[in-house]
Amino acid sequence: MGAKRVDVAIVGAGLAGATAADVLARHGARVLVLDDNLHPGGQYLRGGRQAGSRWTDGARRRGLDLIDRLAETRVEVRSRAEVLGIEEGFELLVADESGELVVVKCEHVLLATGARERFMPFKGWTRPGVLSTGAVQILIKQSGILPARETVMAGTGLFLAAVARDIQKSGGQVPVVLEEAPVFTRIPPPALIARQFSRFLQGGALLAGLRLSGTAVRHSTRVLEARGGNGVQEVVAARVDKAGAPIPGSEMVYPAGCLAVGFGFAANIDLAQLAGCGLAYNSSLGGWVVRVDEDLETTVDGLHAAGEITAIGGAAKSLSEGQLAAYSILRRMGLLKSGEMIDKISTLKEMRRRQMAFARYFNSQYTFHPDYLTNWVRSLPDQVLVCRCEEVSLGDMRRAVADGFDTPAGVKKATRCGMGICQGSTCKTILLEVLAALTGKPHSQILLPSVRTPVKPVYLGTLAGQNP
Amino acid sequence: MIPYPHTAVSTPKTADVVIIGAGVIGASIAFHLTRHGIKPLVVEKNEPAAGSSGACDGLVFLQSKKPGLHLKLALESRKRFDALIHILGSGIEFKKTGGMCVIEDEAELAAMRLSVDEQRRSGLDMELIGGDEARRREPCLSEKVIAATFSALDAQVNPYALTFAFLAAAKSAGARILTGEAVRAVEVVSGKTRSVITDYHKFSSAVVINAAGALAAEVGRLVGLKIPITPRRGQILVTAAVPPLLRHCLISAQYVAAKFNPELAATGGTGFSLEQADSGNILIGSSREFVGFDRRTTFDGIRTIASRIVPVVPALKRVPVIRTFGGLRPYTPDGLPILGKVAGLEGFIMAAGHEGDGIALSAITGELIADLIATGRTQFPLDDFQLERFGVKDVQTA
Amino acid sequence: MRIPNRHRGRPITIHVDGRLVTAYSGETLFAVLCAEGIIALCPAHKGLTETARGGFCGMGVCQECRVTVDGMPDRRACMTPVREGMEVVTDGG
Repeated sequence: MGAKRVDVAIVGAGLAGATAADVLARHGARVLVLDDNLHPGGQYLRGGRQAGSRWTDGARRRGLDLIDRLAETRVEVRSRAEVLGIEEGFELLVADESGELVVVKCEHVLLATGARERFMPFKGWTRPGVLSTGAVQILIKQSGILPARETVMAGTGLFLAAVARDIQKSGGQVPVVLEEAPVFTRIPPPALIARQFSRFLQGGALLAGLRLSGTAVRHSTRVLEARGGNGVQEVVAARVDKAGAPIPGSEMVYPAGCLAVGFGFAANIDLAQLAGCGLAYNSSLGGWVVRVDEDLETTVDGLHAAGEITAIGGAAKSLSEGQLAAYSILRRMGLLKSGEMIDKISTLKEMRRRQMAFARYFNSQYTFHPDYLTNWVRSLPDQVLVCRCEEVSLGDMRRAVADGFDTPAGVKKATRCGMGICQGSTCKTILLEVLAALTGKPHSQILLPSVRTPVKPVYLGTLAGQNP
Repeated sequence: MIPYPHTAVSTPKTADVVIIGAGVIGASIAFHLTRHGIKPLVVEKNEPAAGSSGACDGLVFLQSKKPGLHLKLALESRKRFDALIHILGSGIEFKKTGGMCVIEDEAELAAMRLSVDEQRRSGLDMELIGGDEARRREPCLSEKVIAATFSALDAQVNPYALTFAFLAAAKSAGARILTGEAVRAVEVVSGKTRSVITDYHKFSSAVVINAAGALAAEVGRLVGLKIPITPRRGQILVTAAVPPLLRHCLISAQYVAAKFNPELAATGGTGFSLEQADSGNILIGSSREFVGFDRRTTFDGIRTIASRIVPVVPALKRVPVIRTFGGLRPYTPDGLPILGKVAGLEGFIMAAGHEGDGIALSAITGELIADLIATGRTQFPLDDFQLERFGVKDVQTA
Repeated sequence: MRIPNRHRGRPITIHVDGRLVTAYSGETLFAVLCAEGIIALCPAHKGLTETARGGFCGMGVCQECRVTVDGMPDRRACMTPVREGMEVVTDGG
């Protein structure tokens, strides 16, 4: 059983974590970065330089350079290391790739645990061959593999279009992108367009590229079912009306070997919640996020958060926040005098404000009104599975709520939703959405289920201090 | 149940009996009262089994009970479970697995021999078997086990499913259950309970039952009583569901032996409990800590439990732990629950303090309290369980 | 299927359910299994809809790509880099 003592432990070697590590190390802090992935760089930089494109934006290039630089500095980056829990002091309980337990003691913690994809359930979504949009992107970028010749994309958000392009550029075909949201109804404020022009340009180029290669993007269209044997053979979709109900008679069937789904992102806030950080629900920030001040410090003394967990906001925001968090930590450590880097920090804060404004606009484009979601949930048949691990259906949940179990903790005990091996990583956001729809309560009043160590599965032998 | 937003539309303002707490004890009492034709009102500040009943393992263990009153109560409760399955249904996952208390060294063995004698004299059928026989019956046990005691009566159940089943049965017989509603005050006039005031309602009631488990002392303060129930945390590890590995539920002799050999209690070391639920998940406990109302699990607690169990059941080494939780046992100074009437406070009934035995004793507790209220008589006297045994004075009256 | 014209690591051989499979250093086990068309990896808990699962999120979160690797159970294929001689056992039913 190992033990380590450092000044700052950073959880997550994505853009935010890597940027922070770089700044901290350059100013003399002893840093340890713990990342659960095979390579540093988070989701954004998967596949390294090979996976980029001519349109590779500045954030990606800077991120890749950063990772290269980290390898040359004295920052220790431990890949395939799972942080199981965090306690006051601070202490982090970590399982490394060999199954050994390591306790990390540090004065400061930066949580940069990123985001995962979120989903809305439909019939057959647990069938092999139905993958998340992210899974398809990872297969392509990290391993150079296409899951099928024809892949249908479904869900909501520009990420669907981005991965559709990835598929096409890799020689695959995307017959259609099924987008739940209507065509953009909110015209962005001119000032926002001006400031974030390159991002709007990218989005536009993406959609144009799709159209040119023969992929239809159908708006206000919802995936209803993935049909097939043990794999996917065809995808059923239907148009939905403005209120969120499927329009009868509008069903379409698309043959496909793979169905890629994604409905936006959810911040990975488990460790923050476990550490007692104040959280907030804000749909324009992407749902439940960690509350931070403008120095990226959370409500827990000595604990900072940066990147997608403060708001779903993209690469550039993560780069700004990683730096800001690092400077804040350096100030507290006394490694930065009070007047030092003032201009730089000021500029970063201004950049962050703009990035947050863009994030709010972007997230609200793909946030559905509570009434819309209520109709959506109402339209789902009872047999649709909500909890994949324990195979808990929407019908089970409706019955539980009718029996008076109308809180996440109650539904969990009454149905076992969230009790499986993934401990709600996939179904928690769905559970909350369904409860909001069934009870009429706003999300901010729905109590998140408790989080305990370990936040990821770990062999009992590892916990016992033995190599399993 | 009250739908959101809270309205008082169809909630009558009186109740024959108000039960504070919808854990397994409150639920069992509600159920047993309906068997007498009484329709109680259960008021729960969170949701059913939100407290200890939803944060414990499901062992219905007799071997670990102190011979005498404690064991007698447990035996009676255990008998009731056989009949209850038929009424409450198989959803409660009651399984007569039989239980083993595993012995790992000679000191424990000597203490357990005494325990077996005493338990037998108190009416519990138990055998003392050697290590090889223990492994024959429970193949996953390692060579560290030198002997074990076995009781065919020990069993296991799903604790929150049991709670829900009691409540569902009570509800269909006319009981009312309000959740998300806390009791804020209890009105006492001339030494008699008159009404219960919650977040949203006022209910007139002549009988108020304190089944608030680890929070029973807080309820006691509402009526000016000092109730010596304090929370004692037990941490539990939950593994992923695995194919059947355990045939019985298990505890370690350390728990039991310490009662007979104070040295064993002093040398520290922790006992363990082990159970494989119907779902396939394995529950491994536990700790005993006084940490107030802190339900978090700790690195120390988790690692200690893991280190404790792996040498005894090595096959668990490569089983993933997916969750841990902490439950607050309602601890009393003498290890017996506080049951029955309270002198000087007519109408207020205690039914709390089951520390680690709430699930096993739920059946008999429900029956005794319901009988007390409905008929004034109980199968055996409750004098030894009364609050007064702690020398409580100063009951305030309005 | 493997995307052509991609730089790959050196070719290696792994064993999947007793069969020899060619993979490339740097690929994840999930990717290799996908390329081989092995999409049923572990059993569904109760088999209410279909009987097997085959991975969903691709990033270590959903736990549905669990296979046994070199005797160690419950390894997520998407988080496992392939190595020469790796022995993989799936349980897709």
